[in-house]
Amino acid sequence: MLFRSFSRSVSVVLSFLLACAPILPLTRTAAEGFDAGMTPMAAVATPQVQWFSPRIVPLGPTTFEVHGRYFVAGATAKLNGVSMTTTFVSSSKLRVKSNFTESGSGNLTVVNPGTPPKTSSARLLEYGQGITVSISPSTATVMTGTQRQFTSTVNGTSNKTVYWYVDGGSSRGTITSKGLYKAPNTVPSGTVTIRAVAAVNSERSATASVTVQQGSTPTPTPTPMPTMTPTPMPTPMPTPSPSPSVVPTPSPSASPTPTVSPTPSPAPTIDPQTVAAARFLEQATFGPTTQSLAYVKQVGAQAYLEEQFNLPESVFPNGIASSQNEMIDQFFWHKLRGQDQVRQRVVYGLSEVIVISRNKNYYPNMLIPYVNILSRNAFGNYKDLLKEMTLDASMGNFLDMANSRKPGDGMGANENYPRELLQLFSIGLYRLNPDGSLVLDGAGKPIPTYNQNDIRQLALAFTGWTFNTPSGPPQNLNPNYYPGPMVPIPSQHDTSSKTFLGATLPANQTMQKDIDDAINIIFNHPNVGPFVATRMIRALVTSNPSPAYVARVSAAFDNNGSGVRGDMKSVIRAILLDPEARNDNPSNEFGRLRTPVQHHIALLRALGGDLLQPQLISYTYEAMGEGVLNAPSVFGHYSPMFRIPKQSTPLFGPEFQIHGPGELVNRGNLIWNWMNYYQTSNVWNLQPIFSLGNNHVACVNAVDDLLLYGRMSPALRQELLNALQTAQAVGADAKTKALTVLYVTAMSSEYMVAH
Amino acid sequence: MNNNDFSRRDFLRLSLSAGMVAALGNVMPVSAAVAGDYKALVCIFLFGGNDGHNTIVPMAPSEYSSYLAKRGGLALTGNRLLPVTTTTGGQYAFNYGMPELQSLFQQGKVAVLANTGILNQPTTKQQYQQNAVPLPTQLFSHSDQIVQMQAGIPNASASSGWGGRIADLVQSANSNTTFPTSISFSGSSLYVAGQTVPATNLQPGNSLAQYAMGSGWPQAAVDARANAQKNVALLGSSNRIIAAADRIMSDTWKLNAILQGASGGTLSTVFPSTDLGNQLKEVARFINLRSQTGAGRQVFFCGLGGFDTHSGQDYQQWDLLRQVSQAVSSFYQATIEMGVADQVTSFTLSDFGRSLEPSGTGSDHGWGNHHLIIGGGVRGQQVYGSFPILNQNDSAYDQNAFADTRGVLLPTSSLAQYGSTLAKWFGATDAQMAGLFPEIDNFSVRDLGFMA
Repeated sequence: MLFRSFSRSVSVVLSFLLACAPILPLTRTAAEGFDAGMTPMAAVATPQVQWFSPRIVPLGPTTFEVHGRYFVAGATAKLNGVSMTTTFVSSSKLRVKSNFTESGSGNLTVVNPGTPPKTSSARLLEYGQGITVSISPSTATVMTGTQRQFTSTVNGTSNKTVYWYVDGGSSRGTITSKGLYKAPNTVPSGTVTIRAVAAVNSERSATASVTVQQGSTPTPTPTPMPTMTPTPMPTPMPTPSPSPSVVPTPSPSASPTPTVSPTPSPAPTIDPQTVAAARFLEQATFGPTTQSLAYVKQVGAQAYLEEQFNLPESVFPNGIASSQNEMIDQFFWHKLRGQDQVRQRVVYGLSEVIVISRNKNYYPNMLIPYVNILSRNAFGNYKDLLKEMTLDASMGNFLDMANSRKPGDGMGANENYPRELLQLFSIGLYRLNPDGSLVLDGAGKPIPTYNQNDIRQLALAFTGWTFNTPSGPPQNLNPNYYPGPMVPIPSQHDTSSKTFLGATLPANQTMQKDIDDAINIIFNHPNVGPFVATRMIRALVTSNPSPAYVARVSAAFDNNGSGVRGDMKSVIRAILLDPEARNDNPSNEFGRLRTPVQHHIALLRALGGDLLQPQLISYTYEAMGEGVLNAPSVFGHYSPMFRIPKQSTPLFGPEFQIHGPGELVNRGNLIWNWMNYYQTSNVWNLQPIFSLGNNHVACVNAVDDLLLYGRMSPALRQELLNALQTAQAVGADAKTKALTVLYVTAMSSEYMVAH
Repeated sequence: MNNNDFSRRDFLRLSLSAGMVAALGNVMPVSAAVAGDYKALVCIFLFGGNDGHNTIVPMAPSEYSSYLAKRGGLALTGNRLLPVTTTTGGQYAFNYGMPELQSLFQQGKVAVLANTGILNQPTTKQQYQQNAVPLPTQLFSHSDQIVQMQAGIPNASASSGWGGRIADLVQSANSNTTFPTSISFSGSSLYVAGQTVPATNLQPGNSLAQYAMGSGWPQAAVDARANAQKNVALLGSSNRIIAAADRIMSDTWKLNAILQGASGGTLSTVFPSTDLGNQLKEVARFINLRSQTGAGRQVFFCGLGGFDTHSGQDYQQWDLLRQVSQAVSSFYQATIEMGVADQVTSFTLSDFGRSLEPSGTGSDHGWGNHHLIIGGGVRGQQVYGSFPILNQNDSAYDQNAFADTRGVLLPTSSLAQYGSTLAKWFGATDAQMAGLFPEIDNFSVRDLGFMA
């Protein structure tokens, strides 16, 4: 299914692609190789094998692709040392013939000819069923405190080793490296999932479900187990199959007679309801789909929002991803496929305010708890979000609150987390008015919200927390361990009184009380409302909100109408339903630049697309300034306060900080690869639009409807029609012309800026 | 008085207050676009923490014997040392992977800056061990120190880099304002991120050509597609955000035209086909285009990884320094070929130095480090800063150069001093220095003297 077939028209363009240097993956390793495509020098580089297409090669006579770097003409693929018939396509691609008769796997290497020949390191190639893992028994009931042996079967490789895990940590039982499960002493909620991961490929795993029952009492309590049913994926796509509904206009697919007569004014009439729903969805979600657009038109923005508030959140299916690749796949899928679109969009906005990055938290288990906290609290209370984040082990690692001890032995309490908590997560550097403007002193200068002494005192309040342990009682300073929040070690806590932000924590409070009080003090600072309002309006709606708009959202933060402060639902309602957001004829400073990820996902959703393996393209976002969960620092990918350069009067545009020429071209090149090569099952089915390519007006209208809701500017429309006319005159085919319309529109500023 | 805190305030104030942004432009001293007035700063970041102790080795007899005693199995001996002599007779040796830099050093084109690192203020060993002065956060942590070295701020993080802030200052020296002043060829980098002028990152060898706009059939149809995109961006929009995005698109087309039109590879200098060689070759190409790009001041960022040599250091470091030496030497030759050797300065940064005492076959994370500055504008063949005396019996021995007993260097020069020396050469004024390096006021010397 994953196998792409290359049509003739594709191969024409393929040859052009070869002329372009491939996007090199960002690497800081000391690669000795060079790109054969661009450096005509004599040395032979060591090839690198990156991935295969299809990922699992079917049985029988077939051809698959080897993707990588530094391949040269004459390069040969070898499976377990045996040469295979190999065709050199480019420095980054080989085509290999195969005829596997039974399922299995082997080590594939690529050898570049030369003296001496250079051989890549091996990469696991799977074929037929590939590597499969199963667990026996697949379901079991185990009494508390007792043991049960599980066995694994690995097929398709000689390496039968598996790693055993209990999802959710030791409170749900433990399992030995030989599969001996020991149930906890108390009955955990729901069923326990046991996981066997193939050592040879961590993406191949199997699970078993265990019901733990109370051992001693003979009466089995009927545990309802409402959660943790092992559903493999969050929710299916709104468009599970490439449906022809991708073009909403009734398209007379075979004979491209225009439904709109090609008169001098060919633009479709704008439907105000469509524009209203689409604009709302651009702000509230990762972009409209044809389905969500129709739905919001039917029920209205407000009802949609309330419904979204009550949808279950997209979750990492196993609570935690087993590999970096799985995490990245899930991360994209939540945004692309998740039904909980508003939550996903709010989480994305919050993730640029409260930041953890892969540059320090390298592995999924150090990142997913953080994402989960943002997700869980997106519609909750900002105070709970701050509190949970403060005690989270992954944040404890990222900003060093974990193992921060009371001063002594020449060590001070760590100030990293307290500083960022104040500056970046809650109140900011200067006192703000409710409308987001700076409070000025008599000399017209901004007034700092805190000083270094506040930071020092707050750091003392946060001392004594350490990582939990997988087993045994926590010691004074534990090594990194991420499941669950950090745990208190009273002997490491500073018990003196602490004064900061004009408030005092009395001496000798419990550690939890110090945390609770400190968060309370920060949360109740008058800055938090305008601070959150400014950032979230910029993240969702517009980079330059009016002060009055900010003030309305601040007020909703301060009081949700029932006297509750920090209610995020109230804030989100205020942001998305505000007259300034809902004005469909907004001012000429309205709108925000979509980030690369938002741009691409919106495009995929609008055109009924999907990404089967986001992990394969995630690295390209590094070159667009938006490395996935990989901001350069705790300041995020860009500053919410960034101003667009070279403006006559100041204009905010946070996302412009990562929008230079290189980043722009990389945005476009990924879109082009999807549009031109990854048709059908891999990304999307654009055939319905391609089929309109010979009917210029209908083609432009279809794309206008899908991406701009009939609002395409006359300038863009005219330029597209001119280009199509030229193309027509030189005999371009329908697909070439349709690609012009799709690509130029998708990369137009009027599409990239949601407005 | 806490400097971190106020520096960060100042930085944010810059982006908060339009008045400040305007003021920044006004105090800009660089007289814009004088013909032939060109300067470039090229940062070469050695990711992982290069071992400075084995990059340059003290060869005075008593020092070398102390080095041998303390370095143990990691010590370089015999033909693994490339001897150099400073203009004042100081005896040192480069790692055996660096014959090209050895030669350039002897020609006066390379300077060594000894024991430099991130500091809030001058710090003694006692102050460090008793936590008596503000210290940079998270010393010895790769991620934090990479951020701090690029940010130029001894805190865990910042939103801009010191290369980018320098670029902000000198932007007015560039006549063609579409061309990015600061460019990374090593991925997205904090170093080049400015507060007012965005940086960009480019892949070496990859121009700004969009795949959709390259060659295709019929070519006229593809050209028409390209024209449509160009024209739409030029027509502008009444919406200011859309117009701003259009400007980036137009800039991209202009830059691409410059790069395509001048991409003939007119330089005859041969670069090694290594990762760093490819990056510096691209830097040279951009410098060569300076008259077409209207560039008067440019900041570049390159990087090479693999220096975190906890084990198997000898071969690994030799191999990496060999790549650095070959690539940097080719780059220097290219600047001669372009007639800008005196106007282009390359310099190294790294996460941190490493422990003098070995741990097995490698070394552990350290703090202060030795750095290299290369170019015709460098007062070369000299060691600057304070090279740590290893022999404890030497009368000049300074215990404050060591943070611990394992030979982790406590910096005697700060990154702020290192950077301000380069920034001054580049055209920044004394008054602007505190905006670039908030801690610079804590150090009495702002110019370490290695630039002419």
